[in-house]
Amino acid sequence: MTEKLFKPGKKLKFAIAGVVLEGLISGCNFIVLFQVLELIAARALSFEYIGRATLVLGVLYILRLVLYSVSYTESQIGGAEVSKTLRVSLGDKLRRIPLGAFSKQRIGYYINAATSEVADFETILTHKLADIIKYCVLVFMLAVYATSLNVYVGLAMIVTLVLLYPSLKLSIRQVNKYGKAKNLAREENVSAITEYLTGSQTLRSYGLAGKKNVALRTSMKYFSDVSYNYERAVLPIGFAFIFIAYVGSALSIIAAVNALNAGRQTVPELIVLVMLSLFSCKVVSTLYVSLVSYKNLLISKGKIKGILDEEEVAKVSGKYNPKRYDISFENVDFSYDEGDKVLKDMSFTIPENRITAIVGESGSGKSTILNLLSKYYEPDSGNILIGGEKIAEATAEQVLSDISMVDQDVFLFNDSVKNNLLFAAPGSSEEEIRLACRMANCDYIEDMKDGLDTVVGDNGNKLSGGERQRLSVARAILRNSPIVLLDEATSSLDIENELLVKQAVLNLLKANKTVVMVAHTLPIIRSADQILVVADGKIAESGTHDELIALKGRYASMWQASLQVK
Amino acid sequence: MKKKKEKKGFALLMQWAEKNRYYIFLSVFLSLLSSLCSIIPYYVFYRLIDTSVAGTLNVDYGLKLAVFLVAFTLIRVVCNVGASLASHRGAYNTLYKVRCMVTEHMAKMPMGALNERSLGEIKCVMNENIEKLELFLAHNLPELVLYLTGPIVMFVWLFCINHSLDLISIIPLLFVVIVMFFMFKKFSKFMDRINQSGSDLSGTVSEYVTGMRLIKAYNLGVRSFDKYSKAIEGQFSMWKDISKATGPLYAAYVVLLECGILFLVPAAGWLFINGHITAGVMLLFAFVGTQYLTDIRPLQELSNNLSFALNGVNQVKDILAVPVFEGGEDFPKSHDISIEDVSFSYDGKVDVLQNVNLTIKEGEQVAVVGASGEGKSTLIQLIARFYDVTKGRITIGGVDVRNIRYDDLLSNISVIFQNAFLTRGSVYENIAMGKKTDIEEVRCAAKAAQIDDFIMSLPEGYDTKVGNFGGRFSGGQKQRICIARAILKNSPILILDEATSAADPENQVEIDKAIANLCKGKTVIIVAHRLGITALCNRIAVVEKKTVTDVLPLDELIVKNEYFKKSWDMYSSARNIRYEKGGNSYDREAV
Repeated sequence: MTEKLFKPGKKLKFAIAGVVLEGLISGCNFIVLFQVLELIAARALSFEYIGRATLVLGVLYILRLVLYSVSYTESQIGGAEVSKTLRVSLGDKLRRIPLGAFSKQRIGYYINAATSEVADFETILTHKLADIIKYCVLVFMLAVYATSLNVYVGLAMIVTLVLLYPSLKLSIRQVNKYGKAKNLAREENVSAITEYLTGSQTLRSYGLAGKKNVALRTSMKYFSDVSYNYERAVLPIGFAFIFIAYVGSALSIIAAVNALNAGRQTVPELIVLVMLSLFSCKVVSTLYVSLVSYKNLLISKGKIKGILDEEEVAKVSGKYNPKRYDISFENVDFSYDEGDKVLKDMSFTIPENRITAIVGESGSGKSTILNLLSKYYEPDSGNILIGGEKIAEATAEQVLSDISMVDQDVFLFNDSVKNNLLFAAPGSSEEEIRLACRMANCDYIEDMKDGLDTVVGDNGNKLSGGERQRLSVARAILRNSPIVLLDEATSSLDIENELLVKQAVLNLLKANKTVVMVAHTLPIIRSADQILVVADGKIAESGTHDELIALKGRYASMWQASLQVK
Repeated sequence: MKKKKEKKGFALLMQWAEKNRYYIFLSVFLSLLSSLCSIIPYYVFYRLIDTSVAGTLNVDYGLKLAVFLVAFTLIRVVCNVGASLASHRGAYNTLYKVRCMVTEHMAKMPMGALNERSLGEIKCVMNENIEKLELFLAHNLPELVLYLTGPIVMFVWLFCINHSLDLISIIPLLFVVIVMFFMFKKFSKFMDRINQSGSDLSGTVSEYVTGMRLIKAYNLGVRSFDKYSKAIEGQFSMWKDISKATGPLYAAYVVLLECGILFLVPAAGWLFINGHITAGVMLLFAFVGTQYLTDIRPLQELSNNLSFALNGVNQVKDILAVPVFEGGEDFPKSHDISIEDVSFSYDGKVDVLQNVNLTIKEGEQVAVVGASGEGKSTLIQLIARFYDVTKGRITIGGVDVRNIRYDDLLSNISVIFQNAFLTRGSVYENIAMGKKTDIEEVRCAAKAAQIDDFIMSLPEGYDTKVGNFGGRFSGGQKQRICIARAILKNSPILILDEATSAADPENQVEIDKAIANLCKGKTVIIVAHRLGITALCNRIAVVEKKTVTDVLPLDELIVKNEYFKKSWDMYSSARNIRYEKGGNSYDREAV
């Protein structure tokens, strides 16, 4: 299915045909010159004939100019069209890929595919494809013509053309063999450099900078050597091929001269044969280079295709329409990487319209619970229910329509403050928006030049961390959804912002929703209706603060510790 | 570096390459040789025409020419391979050299020059821009020689055969220059649109992909997809316009290079018929004179790469132009720190700090507090000479920090940064950090940093590679490894940019213990984000309005300093907020 998207459209095909045709017309020059040649040999060349020949060449030339102008321009446009189609298809595909796929590294990969990989693929279509076809056809036709004059010369040309295939194969084999080592060395080099730069201040203060950092030097030297070895293995193949092509040409010369002396060939024929043979040597050299880069660019195609063929969100019945908003996990197993379980047979219930806090050491799986609940990931086994209905039966959009999320990665659209809020709660009045902003301590909006119409920049980069956090709380207040998921991280904020964000969250909680929050500090959740203590992917304890203290278990010792933190 | 005169571009690159420049020169030389050989096929062709038309071509001579062709092609190919290998060897060695130069220079730069932003730029230079030099040195340079000298050699040879025809053969260049001129003119009109549309596309694509979760949550699929499609449509229509405007001109450029045939055929024909030239010469110009110029076609693409390479050289040059701290005396024996009337500005215009005075006695522990953006981080960075003060001076043991050997200064001050940095090496290496020491000493430091138990629980203990396992270390564990490292380093002055970490309470208690062990008997300056930590310090310095206003013990400060009092209240309020049903308020009892 996806293969179709890469195919050039009708227009582009015509354009390519035009470029090929132009190349063939340029071959006609030789026919005209051959005529001149025969007249010279017959000692019958006249001014009149030269004039006529020039005229014919001129007509051919103008024909080429027009044909190439039109075809080249159209092929550029056609290539851009294929890019457009591919990008739109990628965008459409990305909507249908499970949300779990959008991890940090993967996001970069997707963005790169939709921008530069598509552009690379486009150059195959617009620059390489037409040239490759043109030269192949040209050499083949010239070879056929040469065969009609001298079988050996024609044969040599065909053999050279055919030899392109094994040379290319060999080259690709070498590329694969040595390229892997080179890529590994490059990756290693990039991470060594990145590590060195990230830690440069630390490394400096421990005297491990510059020359003294042997690890970095070794890695850079290794990359340099491996890269050279790669070139040494790949480079000679192309040149060897070119050499063979010229040997073929030399043999052709011998054959043609022999034929001439045996009286089987005329002088003009000999000249044309030698010319064709030498000309085709030049063309196949170009072809070889084009084909190698064509092969390289196909890697881009592979990456794009890989994304287009990614597994999509499973079809669901969509029979999901919860009437209440209590939540339960039933024997849920989950792992990000196979064999490394993050949640093990986890079961618990979260009552409606109450606050449930999840605590535990970092890495214990707290945030994973929120990720599963919002269908970013699907559990390996077990059920997650909202209002008694399985969310496995629902689309991500359905589940998320009942959820507001406030977490550390605040994402904002490059749009006005107002629109960012309206996206969360379409149809809100200006009054409601202002009220939500006030409740979320977003007074700073009033101080900005354009107020609510201020555009926040790419992912809100014109706002500070604290401002973004508060805006995300305003969004949740306005959205007023029955379930609120909180992964509050105020640790990166200064004292003033910490207080403002916490106050904003207090206002959000006034609306009495089903709240599930991941807590990093304990005092803040002392009054939660239920506290779940997660350890080793399981619920170790659950209850209210007082119950858990009385239990004298994990929570009680965490509480003790938190009292000691100054 | 002593230099007679400022070198630029390629000359500078060759200077950096040191001995490796000879590889590059060799490659250029071999490319030249190969270029010379490239006229051989044309020569053979010419000899064949000449002799065959004259009727003197025999089998022997044919064989001779064939052998001649093969021999010179072999020389050419060998020259080519040699040129490519030499250029690659030279290029990769030069890249290595340049990378080493950059890192070596970084090792002497002021620490302040290694901030996040400039590191981002250096990273781009180290990984991408320097890599582009390879393309230039290994490919473009020999290619430039080939594409340029090939036609020149041909031109000279043909000139020797016939002056006037040869001059006619370069008429196409005239047309080509005119067409190129118009092409660049048209293209430059699109420059703004290209940049605009390019950033639109990348911005929109990146928002679409990065925001996918929210797009689904808010059911904005259709709207966002529309916006995405529009940006793509915009990109497409721009390229369509550009293609329409410049496509025919580019096509003309390509085809016009071959227009010499229209002039050469009549001219050569006329000369031949009038008996001025032989048939061989006429045919030579008709077949070869019309073709050799097409070899310069790739030059147009080369010009782009050339500007990339120059750009890379300039960026490396900029990094190397950052001044370095060198020379100075040993680190003083006494460690009283004195900040005397110090002002500082990053840009020379706006002061970040003004007239700061602060004295810290040896062995004293001082906390620095202040609102964000007031300059408290800058202040402590000045002590470790991340930057040089604009006015006043900072002394350690009475010696101006600018007179202390920089390496020595850095090795006597431990700075614990907010984000814990671990290398990919083993845990042992991460604590020892190049110091020659035995495992017992390292474990001792780790024990004091409360992390020995954890390390021993790892599958390979102290030999566990952080690279494979680092993802599983929590922030708190990483921090304690960094503290263990500082304990082992045992420098007399400690600067802590205390992290407002998201460590869970038990981890935080361990970290606090580790820090307490680290600080024992040292002169300590802590930037306190958690105000609670100030209770452990002898004195607290308040940074407000670009200067240090008060330096007092906690109990006095809380009475005297308005800002601190307010912060303390906010801090307690924030710490005492309890979330509960209906959004209920603050905790009344003190925690």
